Amino acid sequence: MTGTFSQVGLLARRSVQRTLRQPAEYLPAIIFPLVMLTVLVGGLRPSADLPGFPTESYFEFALAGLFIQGAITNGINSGNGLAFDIQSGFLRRLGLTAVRPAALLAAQLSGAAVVGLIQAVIFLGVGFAFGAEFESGMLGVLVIVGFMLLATMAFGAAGALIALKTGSSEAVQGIAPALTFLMFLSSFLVPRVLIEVDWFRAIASANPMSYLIEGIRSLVLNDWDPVALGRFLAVGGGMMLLFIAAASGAFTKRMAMR
Amino acid sequence: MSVSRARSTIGAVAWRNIYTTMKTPSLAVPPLMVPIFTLAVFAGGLSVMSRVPNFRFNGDYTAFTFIFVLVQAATMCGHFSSLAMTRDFETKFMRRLMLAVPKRWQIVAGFVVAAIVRCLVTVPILFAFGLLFQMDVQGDPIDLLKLTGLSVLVTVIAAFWSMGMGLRLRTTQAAPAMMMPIFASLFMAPAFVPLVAMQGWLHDVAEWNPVTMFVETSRGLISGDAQNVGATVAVGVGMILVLWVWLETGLRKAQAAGG
Repeated sequence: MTGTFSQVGLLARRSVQRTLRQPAEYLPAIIFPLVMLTVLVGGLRPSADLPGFPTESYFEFALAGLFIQGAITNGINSGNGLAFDIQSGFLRRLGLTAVRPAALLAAQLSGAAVVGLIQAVIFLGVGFAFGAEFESGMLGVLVIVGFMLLATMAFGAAGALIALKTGSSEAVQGIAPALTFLMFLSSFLVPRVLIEVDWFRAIASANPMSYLIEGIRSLVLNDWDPVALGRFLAVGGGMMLLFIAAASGAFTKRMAMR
Repeated sequence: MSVSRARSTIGAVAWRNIYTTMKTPSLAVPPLMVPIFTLAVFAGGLSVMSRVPNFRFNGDYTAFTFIFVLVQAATMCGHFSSLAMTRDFETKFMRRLMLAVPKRWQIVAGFVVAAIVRCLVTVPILFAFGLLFQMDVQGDPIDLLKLTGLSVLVTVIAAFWSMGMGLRLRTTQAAPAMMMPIFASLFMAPAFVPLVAMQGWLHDVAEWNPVTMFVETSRGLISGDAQNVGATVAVGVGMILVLWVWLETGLRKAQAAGG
C-alpha cells in the first residue's frame, strides 16, 4: 500500500511538473473556454430577456459551461500526455518496474487536477470580476471547485482510456471536438425548457453533458437544488468510475501486450 | 500562348489541391462537417432566439441561422485551401513548384480556384441539409444564385487572408493564426440575432464589422427581401483588393525564403 502511494506521489509530481513547465499545454485549457464564453455571452445576451429564462444575466447562465469546457480541455490534455508517454516509450520502460495501473492513472489525474484547480480559481475570478452572484454562497463556490475537479477526473480518465487503447495523441485530440460538439448538443446554450425543437430537446435530455452543466449552473443561479446536484454526482461520478475502471483494464492489457 | 499556359498552370495547381483534399480526410471533412453540425445545433437548439425583442427576419430561425453557417462554411473553404498550401511548403513541394512556375501568382490563383470549387460543392450540400431541417426559403432562384455568388466572394476573401498568413509562416502550425481572426470576425457579426437586436459592446463592434454586411445581405436574399447586394459586392471587391497587397507581399516573402 505504501509502495502504491509512493508510486503515485512520484508519478504525480512528474505529471504536474511536466504540465506546469509547458504553458502551451495548459494555457489553451484556460484561454479557449474564456474566448468561447466571451463570444457566447456577447451573441446570446438577448436570450436573457425571454420569458421563462432562469436569470436576467446570460453571463451567469453561461458560466457553468465554462467549467465543463475547461474540464474537457484539461482532461484531454492529460490523456494527451499519457499518449505522449506511450509514443516516447516511457510507459514501456515504466512497465519494467513494479508500477500498478492505479498508481499511473492516479498520478495522471493528479496532474490534471492541479491544472483544474488553477482553472477553477481563474474562472471564478472572471465570474466575480464580471458581477456574477453565486446564489449558493461561498460554500457553493467551493462545491463548484469540487465539481470541476470531479469533471476533470472523468474527462481525464476518458482521455487516458483513449490514449491506452490507441497509443496515439492524434486519437486523443480527436475526441476533443467530439466532446465539444456533445456539449453544444446539451442545455449549454439555453435551458432545456426553452428548447423548442423536439428532437434537439430529446438529445439534450439524454445527453450527460446537460446534467454536468445544470449541476454547476444550479449552484450559480438557484441556491441549493438537490435534484440538480444529485444528477451531477450520479453522472459525473459514474463517468469517472466507469472510465477509470476501463482505463485500468486497458493499462493492464497494454502492459501484457508489451 | 501565355494565356493558355497560365490557364494550364492554374488548372493543374487547382486540380492537385482538389485531388489532395479528396484523398486527405483531415482537409476534406472539417469544412463540411463543422458547418453541418453548427447548423444542427443552432437551428435545433436556438430557435427560441427568434422570440427575443426586436428580432426581425422574414423567415424562420433555420433560414436565419443557415446564412451564418453558410458564411462560416465559405470562409472555411478558403482557409482549408490555404492550409493545403502551407502543407506544400512543409513537404518542400512548393519549392519545386516555384522553380517550375516563374509567374508565382498563377500558383496562388490555382489554390484560389480550388477554394472556389470547394465552395461550389459545399453550398448545395449545406442547402440540402438546410431543407432537411425544414428551412423556409422565400428567395427566388435568382436570389439563391446571388447568394452562391456572395459565398464565393467570401471564400476568396478568406483564402486571400489565410494565404497571406500562410505564405509568411509557411507551416501548418500557423493554422490557428490563419483561422482565429476569421473565427473572431464571424462571431462578432450578427450570428444569433439580427444587428438591431444585438446588445452591448458586440453590437458596436458588429456595426463596423464587414462580415455583418455579408451576413445581413445574404439573409435578405434567402428571405426574398434583398437589399444592398451591390454595396456588399463592392465592399467584397474592395476587401479583395486590399488583401491582394497582403497576399502579394506574402508571396514575395515566400519567394525570398526560397519556398
